[in-house]
Amino acid sequence: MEVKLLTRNFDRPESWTLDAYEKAGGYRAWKTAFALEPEALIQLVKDSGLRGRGGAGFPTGLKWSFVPKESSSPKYLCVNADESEPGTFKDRYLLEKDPHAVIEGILICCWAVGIHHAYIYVRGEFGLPLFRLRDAVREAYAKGYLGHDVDGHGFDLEVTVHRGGGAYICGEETGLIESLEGKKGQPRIKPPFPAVKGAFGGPTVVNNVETITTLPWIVEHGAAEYRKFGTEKSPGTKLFSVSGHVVRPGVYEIPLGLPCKELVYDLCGGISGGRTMKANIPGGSSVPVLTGAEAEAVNLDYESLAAAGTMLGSGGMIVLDDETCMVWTLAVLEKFYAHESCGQCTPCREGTGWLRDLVYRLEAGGGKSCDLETILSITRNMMGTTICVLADAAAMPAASFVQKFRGEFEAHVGAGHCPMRRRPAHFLTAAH
Amino acid sequence: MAEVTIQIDGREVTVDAGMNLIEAARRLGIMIPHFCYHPGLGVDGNCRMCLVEIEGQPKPAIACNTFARDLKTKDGVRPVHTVSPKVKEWQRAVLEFLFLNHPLDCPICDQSGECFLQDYYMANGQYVSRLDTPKLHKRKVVDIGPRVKLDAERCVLCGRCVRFCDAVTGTGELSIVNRGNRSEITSFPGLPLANDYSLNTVDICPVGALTGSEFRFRKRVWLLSSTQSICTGCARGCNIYLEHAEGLAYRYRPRENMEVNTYWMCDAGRQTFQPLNEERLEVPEERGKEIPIFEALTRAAQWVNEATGFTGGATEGGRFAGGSVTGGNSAGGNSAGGLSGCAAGGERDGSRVLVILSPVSSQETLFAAKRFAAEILGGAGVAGIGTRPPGVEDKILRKADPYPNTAGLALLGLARDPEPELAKGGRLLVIVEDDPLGERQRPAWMQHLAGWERVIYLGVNRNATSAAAHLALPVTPHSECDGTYVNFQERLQRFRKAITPRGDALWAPELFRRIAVAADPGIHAGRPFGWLSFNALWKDLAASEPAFAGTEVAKLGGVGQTLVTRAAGSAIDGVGDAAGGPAPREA
Repeated sequence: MEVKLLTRNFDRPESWTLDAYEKAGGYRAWKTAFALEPEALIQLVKDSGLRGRGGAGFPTGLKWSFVPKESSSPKYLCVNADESEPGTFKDRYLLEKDPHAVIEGILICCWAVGIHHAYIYVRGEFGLPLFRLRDAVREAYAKGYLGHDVDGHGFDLEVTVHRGGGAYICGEETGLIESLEGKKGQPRIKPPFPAVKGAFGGPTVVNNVETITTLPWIVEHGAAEYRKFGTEKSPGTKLFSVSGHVVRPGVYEIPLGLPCKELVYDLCGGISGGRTMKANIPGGSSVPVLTGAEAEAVNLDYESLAAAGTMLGSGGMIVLDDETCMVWTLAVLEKFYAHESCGQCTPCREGTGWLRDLVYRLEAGGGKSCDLETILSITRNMMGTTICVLADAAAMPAASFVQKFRGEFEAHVGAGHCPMRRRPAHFLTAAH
Repeated sequence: MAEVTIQIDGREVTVDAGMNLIEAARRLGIMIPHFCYHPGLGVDGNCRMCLVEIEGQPKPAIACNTFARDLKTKDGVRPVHTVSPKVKEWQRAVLEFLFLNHPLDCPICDQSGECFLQDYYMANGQYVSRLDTPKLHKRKVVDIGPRVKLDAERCVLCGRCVRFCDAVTGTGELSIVNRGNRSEITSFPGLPLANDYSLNTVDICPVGALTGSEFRFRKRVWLLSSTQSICTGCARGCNIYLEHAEGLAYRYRPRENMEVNTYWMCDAGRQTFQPLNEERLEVPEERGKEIPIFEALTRAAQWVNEATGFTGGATEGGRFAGGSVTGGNSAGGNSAGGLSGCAAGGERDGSRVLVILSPVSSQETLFAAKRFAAEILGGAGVAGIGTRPPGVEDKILRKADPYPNTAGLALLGLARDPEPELAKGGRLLVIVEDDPLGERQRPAWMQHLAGWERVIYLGVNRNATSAAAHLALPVTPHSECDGTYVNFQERLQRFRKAITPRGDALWAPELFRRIAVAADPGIHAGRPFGWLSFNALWKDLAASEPAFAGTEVAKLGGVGQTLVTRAAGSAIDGVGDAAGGPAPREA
């Protein structure tokens, strides 16, 4: 069952233009929002139960309320469009197909928190999403939706589109801020949290594109209406980007709490080639993997996935069929994290590289049986000991892969080579 | 700021609410291992070595970014554990990560013996290694600046050096480039680490990544002894450790003194230990010929007597109550000395004698010279302002005044330009530790010296002046005796004897005393030269010099103190900086 809140305009012709957006009823919610006091607006978002869609699932209204009302330094909004979690491609759709919804969401957020300058930090690799967003911002300025005295409401708002340099770590909120300030993208030590001291030293809200884009709908239809979707603790809808061995991969908007089975087998048309689901990484590459059986039993909401030992994350679901080599898959993931670790904290800087080396060696058939215990011990030592959660993001898949597919790892050690059928030939030569 | 009583490892300590746990634990004598935190550079939180366990918190917390106030909850203050099994395990894990790509070249690493990695491994590592993946290789022996070498493989990427160049010197030469385990410290292209404080990065580097080009491979650090001393490079008087072995000084290292130099010292100051080792005047020389010390003392005494017209009498001591008058060699002299003066044979005439002092001398030397001039040279002129050209002043530590004791000289009332008197010529010129010929290179001075019948030089090194003098007597530098300097803030700071005096070198006050005794055995046990020790001299100094009245030198401690009597105003005229000069920049 798909619902269309965020994706409501996706099918309209030239949905990314201001014309199309206005025809579809766009830039109305924002007028409603302006009629409300900022406090009431924050309360509305709190009531809706909207949780951050970037991965951590932190209640959005609560996050806003941490920003001091009076501040001697300017407050900022940073819209996190640095979508870089492997397996996640939902924000790119929002930017490509409905950039004006993002801008309207920005207007609502900035009015609620009292912000006059918003930055949209766009992933460096994005082409089309960036161009459409830039055009949309230009259109909005021309129409008076942005800039000085927005639409005659006496409210100023500047929006700056900032293209990132292409680092995974700049999707972390403080890494994003550092990068935005022109520094090397690496997370900052917390506290102080961005809500107190963020971009350019000012109180800063960092919200994901999807979170921001949800705001117009909530304002227009009310919190109660939003809560009709999803579950008690995970209200609303969520975009899932499904990739891997399914018949119809793509972005699906579903109400939270939908059984994973329904998403994989009904919406996505099941596993391609008539094979079976061996594993499912439900929330982007950083979350613990589920076995096929576990995935078929789980519902897609924050609580159910946590109970199953994994996380909703960014909703980047990677489906793996029974021919996939799990050691190879993990090697690919660990190579990514070793490459993307900013190198600041010792456990992550060294641990990610160590994991990569060990998993590569296992995949190549040179592993030892004690390597599995070493991997598990490295992951324990990495988790929770660093400034940001990149160490956890690298450790959680490693730990869950080894725990849940131990037999496959042991088979690699025993055979002295990869016993699986599907394995690209170039793989072994590309260790670093 | 409000104070909080917190509990670390079961022991309570009351600290400022804003103090972090590393500092709070230090108060209890508990050392929480860390690499990146430095009190002068603040919190960075990247090394993850200082992980501690806070009761009621599931995750480990870094002690550097956890402040005493953070421990307060509704139900009281959360206890902290720094040596619990969990903490030991966390620390062991971080160490293992750090060693993953570390070259383990301790046998050829200069940091060996003062390396945090070694210390922490010995305290809390000692595991069986399971590191069997190939190590990453990075750049080694890189001249990252003229005085500093980088070994990127040894680096733990704590970023202290980067933050030092950003926050303290503001020059920002260094940065960490690349990501993940390929991260490396480097300097910007065309901008080597060449600032005037670059060697501080070597001090604060917790491992062997940054080493001083000059000290490299010169001495194993565990063979060095460390003595509290004062840098003599400028009027700042940075507190230092003088590190030495087998009678040689090897390096200066800054010693924390928040009032003077905080944690740092300049590169130029570090170079000033060279004269302690090289070109030393070890044996007295008469016109370039080495002579035994007793002969030299006799000669000096003879010249002093001749120049002052002293023919005996030996009753100087008589002028001082309590002096025992031996009158042993008072050939035809008058042994019944009175308080107001002596008979003709005992009188000294200092009108054709001059003593040139220099602010390079310790307070004790200056005082002894002043006393010697008054008592033995018959009230000869005593003056000096130093002849070195002024140095470069900056806003961090360095002062333009190139002398360590300009204020001390001024406080004795002797800071006058001796040149007019010098130009007149005379019978005996005594130059104490100044090197006017070498340092100023003024032909005029050479001519001035020619106008003097005899020149006695007291100094540490052989130099142009010692070569020009008729008699050169070796004295101890600040590494070889106890002493004090007064810095530009009029802070009296103490240095300690580190090394046994080289050759015949004598503590300058002792040298003056011996010449005095040789010149007039009558004063042998008398008061004017009754100092046989540093403390005895200071008792005399504090009693005789109003500027130092009440100073108890034994109570100076490691960081010195501002002279009580000089609280208001400055006696330093036109030299150096008044006490209210710019304070050392806080990091």
